[in-house]
Amino acid sequence: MNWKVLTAGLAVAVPLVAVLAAGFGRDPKLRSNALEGKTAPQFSLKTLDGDPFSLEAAQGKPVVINFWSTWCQPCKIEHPVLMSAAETYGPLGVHFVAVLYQDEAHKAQAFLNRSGSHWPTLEDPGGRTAIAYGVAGVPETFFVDANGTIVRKVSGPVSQEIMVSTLEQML
Amino acid sequence: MITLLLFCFSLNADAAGPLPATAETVAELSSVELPEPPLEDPPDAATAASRTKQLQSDLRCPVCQGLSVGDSPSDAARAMAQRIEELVQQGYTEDQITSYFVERYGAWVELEPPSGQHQALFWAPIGAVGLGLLGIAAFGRRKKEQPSSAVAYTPDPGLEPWRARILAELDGDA
Repeated sequence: MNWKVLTAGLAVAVPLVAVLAAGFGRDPKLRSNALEGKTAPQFSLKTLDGDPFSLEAAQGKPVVINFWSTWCQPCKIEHPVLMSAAETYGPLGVHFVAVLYQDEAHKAQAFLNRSGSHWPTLEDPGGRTAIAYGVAGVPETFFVDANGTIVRKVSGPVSQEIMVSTLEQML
Repeated sequence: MITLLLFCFSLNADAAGPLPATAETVAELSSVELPEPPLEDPPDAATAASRTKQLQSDLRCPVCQGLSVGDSPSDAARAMAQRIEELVQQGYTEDQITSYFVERYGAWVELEPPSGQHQALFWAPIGAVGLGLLGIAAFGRRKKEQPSSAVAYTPDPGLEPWRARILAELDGDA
C-alpha cells in the first residue's frame, strides 16, 4: 500500500467531509434565534380598537407574542392553536398578544370578527416592533417568561404540542 | 408547509400597499425601546443620506434571497430601510445600527460578515488540509534525505562467487 498517497488523500478528504457533514446537518435557510435567552424588547403600541398597550404592563407574567398577518395562510392555520391555548392558559396568568405584521387593521379586524380572539391585536406602524424582535416572516411567536426573557422563538405556525410544552415550562 | 411559508413571503414581497411612512406618525403611534442611546449628535443631511445608503447596502433583506435592504422592493425591506434612516438621523453610528440588527437577526443579516468572526469555520478545514500537505511534504523530503548506508546490506550467499570473481577481475585490471 502506498502510505504517502493514502495519507495525502486522508489529509484532503477528512477536513472536507467534516465541513460538508456540518453543512448538510443544518438548513441553510434557517436563521438563528438570536433573541432567545435575551430580554424581550419593550414596546408600546395601540390595539386595533385604539387602546394603548405596553409590554411593561405584563411584567411578572408569562407572555406569548404572536406576529401575524391576514395574507399569511399559516397564520390562519395557527389561529385555532392560539385560541385554544389562550382559553386554557389565559386564566392561569399567561398573557397573549398579537402584533399585526405588514397588514391593514380593517382586514385583521374582519378576520378576528370571523375567527375569534382572546387577546389584544396591536398595530405596528413602520414595523418597528417586528424589527426589534428580528421578525423575518410570519407567523413568528415569542414566548417571554415572567422575568421578561425570551425563552423560545418559533418561526412558522406553532403546533399544539410546542405551545403546551413551552407554556408548561414557563408556568 | 415550506411552500405555504414561501407563499407568505412572496405575497409580502409583492404587496404594494404603502407603509405608514413618516417618522412623525410612527412616533405618535408606537415606541420601541432601544438598548442604548445614540453615540453621536444627529448628522447633517448629506452625511445621514450617505450613511443610510451604505447601511441599506450592507444589510440583508430578511425575506429575500441575497438582496440587500436597499435593493429589495419588499415591505419588510422597506420597513428596515426606514428604520435604518430613523436611527441614522437620531445619531446612531453605523456600528450601533449594525449591532442592533445583528442582535436581532443574527450575523446572517450582514451581507458580508465581519472578518475575524465566524471566519474560523471557513479557514479551519483549509488550514487542516494545508498542514496535512506540509506534513506529507516534510515526510517525503526526510525519506529522500536519508543516507543510503542507513539501509543494511545483506549479501546474497548465492551471489558471493560472482562478487568474488568481479573483484578479482577488477584487481587484475588494476
